[in-house]
Amino acid sequence: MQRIRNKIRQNLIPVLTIMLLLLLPLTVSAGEKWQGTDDLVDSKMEEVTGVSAKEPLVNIEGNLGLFLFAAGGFAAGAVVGYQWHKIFVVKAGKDNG
Amino acid sequence: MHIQDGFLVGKWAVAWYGAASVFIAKGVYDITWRTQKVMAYKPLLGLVSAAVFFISLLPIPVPVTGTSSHPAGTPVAAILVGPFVSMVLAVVALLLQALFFAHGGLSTLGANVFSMGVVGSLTGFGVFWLGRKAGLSLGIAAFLAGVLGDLAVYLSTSFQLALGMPGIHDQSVLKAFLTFLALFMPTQLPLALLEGLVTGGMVKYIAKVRPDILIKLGVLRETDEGESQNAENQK
Repeated sequence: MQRIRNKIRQNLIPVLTIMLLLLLPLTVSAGEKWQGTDDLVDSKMEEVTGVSAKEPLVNIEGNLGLFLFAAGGFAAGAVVGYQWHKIFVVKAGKDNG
Repeated sequence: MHIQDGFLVGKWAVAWYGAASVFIAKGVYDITWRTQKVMAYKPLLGLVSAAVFFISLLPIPVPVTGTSSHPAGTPVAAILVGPFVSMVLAVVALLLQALFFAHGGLSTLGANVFSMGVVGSLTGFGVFWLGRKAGLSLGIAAFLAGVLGDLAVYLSTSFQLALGMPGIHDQSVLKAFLTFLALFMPTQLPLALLEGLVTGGMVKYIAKVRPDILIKLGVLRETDEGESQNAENQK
């Protein structure tokens, strides 16, 4: 066990360094700055098969997308914050004092 | 890794639904007994489900490649709430994303759940478990689980796309797999490291503040808690 643990510890930094170095020559031909990889896959799929992604069931256009992302982020943040307080602040405080 | 509607032929879309549903059924069963066993499980489930939804929707820019992608969130969820329950959380997150955020499709939901939910959770949990068995510290084991879980999700998505893309009979599955993998990996490698850091940090934080939850869920042993307390005292 100790041998395996030491081996992983010794090799972790070299492996991570190699992973990072591999990134340097690999540049993705993104059509626009900060294009999502999902969009890159969509374009590639269209190029290779001629099939494009179907319209989503709820079509989001214009600022509606921005609104939904903001609303979704706010809702998720509120839930995380509320439950975080409940688990790590209220209960931990009770345990400590 | 959100596969859009129309990118998988019918038989594969159905097959991934079938494969994912077996794991989801076990996840639903696990939620029932875990909520009865651990008092803080429901709030933890709420916290983790919102985190998975948010993390898997968040496009993070990667300066090296000039592109953006998102982490999976399921490796950390698998460690904290259990691998099968984490798959159920992936269903909820991916369904909402397909319906309201144009991320992924309904016909490809089974495939997306299988890659992000099943593969991400099982790899994350498996690596964490093996790491702990090998004697790695909690933080390092969780870090590796986050890194490898994230990469496994994108490996499986590339495989699903290559296997089920329309007109695949004209070309080699391996070539298609490598094409999709080459699109994902440059952006995903740094994000996998980031996911590893977040996973390691979160598990370590909970082990420090609420070790009782992790002990009841079997993530931490009571002896581990004693060790971490001793380390804290020595500091």
